[in-house]
Amino acid sequence: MALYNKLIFTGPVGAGKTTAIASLSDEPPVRTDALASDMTQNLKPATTVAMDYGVMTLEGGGKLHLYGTPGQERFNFMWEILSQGGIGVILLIDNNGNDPFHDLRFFLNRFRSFIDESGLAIGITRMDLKADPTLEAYHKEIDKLGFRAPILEVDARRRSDVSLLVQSLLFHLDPGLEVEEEDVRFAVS
Amino acid sequence: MNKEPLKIAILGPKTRFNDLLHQFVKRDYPLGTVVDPEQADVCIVDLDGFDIEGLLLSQRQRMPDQPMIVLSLHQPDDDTCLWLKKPLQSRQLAEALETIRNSNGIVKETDNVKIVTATNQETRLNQAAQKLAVKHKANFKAVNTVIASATKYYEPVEYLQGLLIKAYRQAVTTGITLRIDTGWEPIFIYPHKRLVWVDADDQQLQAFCHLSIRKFTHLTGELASGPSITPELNTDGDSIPDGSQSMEAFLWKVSWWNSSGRLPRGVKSGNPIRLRRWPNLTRLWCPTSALRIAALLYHAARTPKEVVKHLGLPESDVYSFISASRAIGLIERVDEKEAAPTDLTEGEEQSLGLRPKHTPVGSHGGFLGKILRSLVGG
Ligand SMILES: Nc1nc2c(ncn2[C@@H]2O[C@H](COP(=O)(O)OP(=O)(O)O)[C@@H](O)[C@H]2O)c(=O)[nH]1
Ligand SMILES: [Mg+2]
Repeated sequence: MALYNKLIFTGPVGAGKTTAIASLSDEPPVRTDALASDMTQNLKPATTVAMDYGVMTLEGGGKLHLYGTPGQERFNFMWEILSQGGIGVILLIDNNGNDPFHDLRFFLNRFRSFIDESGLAIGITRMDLKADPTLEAYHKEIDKLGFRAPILEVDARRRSDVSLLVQSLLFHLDPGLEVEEEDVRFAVS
Repeated sequence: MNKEPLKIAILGPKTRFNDLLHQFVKRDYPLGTVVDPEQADVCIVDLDGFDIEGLLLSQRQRMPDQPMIVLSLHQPDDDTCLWLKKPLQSRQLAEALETIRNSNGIVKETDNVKIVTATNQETRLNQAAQKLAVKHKANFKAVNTVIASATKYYEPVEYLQGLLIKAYRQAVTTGITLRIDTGWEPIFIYPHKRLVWVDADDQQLQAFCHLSIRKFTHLTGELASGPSITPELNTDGDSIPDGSQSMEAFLWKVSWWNSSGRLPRGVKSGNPIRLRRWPNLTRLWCPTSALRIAALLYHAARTPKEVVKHLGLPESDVYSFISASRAIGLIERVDEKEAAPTDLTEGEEQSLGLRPKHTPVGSHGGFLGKILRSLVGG
């Protein structure tokens, strides 16, 4: 089960990735400037990359690792490494940004192959500051790009919002999931 | 035409509620007449009434085959009774009595008495089946099923939902702040900010939503002229009172509550539908099961009945979800052909594109369940 234990948070700078990961993480989230060695093998030894990391400890053991993609494009290669073994992508888009649709297209295209193999849920943040574009408009936009995903209004500062967004990804992956203990037929031991 | 009335007994002491029931039969259900329990074709019991259990039991023992209509806030365990949830709607009670009258053989084939409620094809079919069944001594449970389907639909225009949709349309096209009067609290609509304001909390709103507008007017005797939508000229549009809520969230919950677990007329329980997109569930009132329903209906078209079966949820949860989603414009009807065939294997569904290519069930499905429980529990 070690294979599928990551959740990737991505989106433009300021969309709320750091905040969202912090709101879900049990342990104080780290904004690492140091990286695990398997991720740095392609880098010069001195290179460090800033990224968000948090962890959710699951009932009966097991962990869900939460990663936030680094903002700078020069670290694009990192995303590939990060997304291996991920159960899906949480894409956060800042509705108050300069061109949120451009951001949407950019990140969806960047992660297309990974999303195709896993899942996607989109959270639109900062809608309290700017109401447009609407969720309906976002939906039309992802439709054009050939994606299907839950799109929800999210305030990254509210744990309940972030939690619901992640839940929507889980149900999107498997609408048959149930919350009750006895219904988990494939429980990991 | 057969003139023999349905003999109805109202069990229990003279309470105000039982008094209302007597009045109801006298005024609104002329096809019935109130008699003593021993002579009755059917008994009506207010289960929330004082000390009713003993009475109920002895009546059951005396006349085990006598149909019983039970009125209560919560569903009783006894499923041989026909349960009508309170707050009671007279229409539902009339429908229940009418079905029993039909199944009793009191109504002959030639009897063309109109049922109080609008009859759709499904109800008529059910009634025909019911009559047939009676000839073969159908048990009371069959009647129960018929009632369930007879009250499975509601007419949104008869409720606040219908008024709201009309007012929203007017407000948005004219850009003018509107006010809805129903005899209950006035409701204000601010189209520029897409907000609604009413001086009531959710509990009060929910209670109001259980009644159709006409019923409410009838009960309170308010507003002889009926509900109205009028421009609210003495606001400047910018000074919106505190505690206002989004138009979408307001319409969503009103529709959820108006539905009371029924489907809006126009959505058939056996016809496939699909969600155009997910409702904005972080900002809408709903139980957690709404996420599962949304995922399933966004995924592929299914009939409301299939959703109930597939997810193992109470019918009322599913139907209310569909009603609310439809009110905010998210439900589309689908050709039968396009719907997910139910007897395909997962693999077949997958190859037809009806499932995501990488449904994780069995691979990391258990892990997803663990994450889910941590999110919900934590
Ligand atoms: N007003 C508002 N602020 C938000 C919302 N979501 C996140 N923020 C704030 O936006 C800022 C940027 O968030 P951050 O997590 O650093 O974004 P990152 O660059 O994606 O990691 C922080 O100050 C958050 O508190 C929201 O929905 N509304
Ligand atoms: Mg950050």
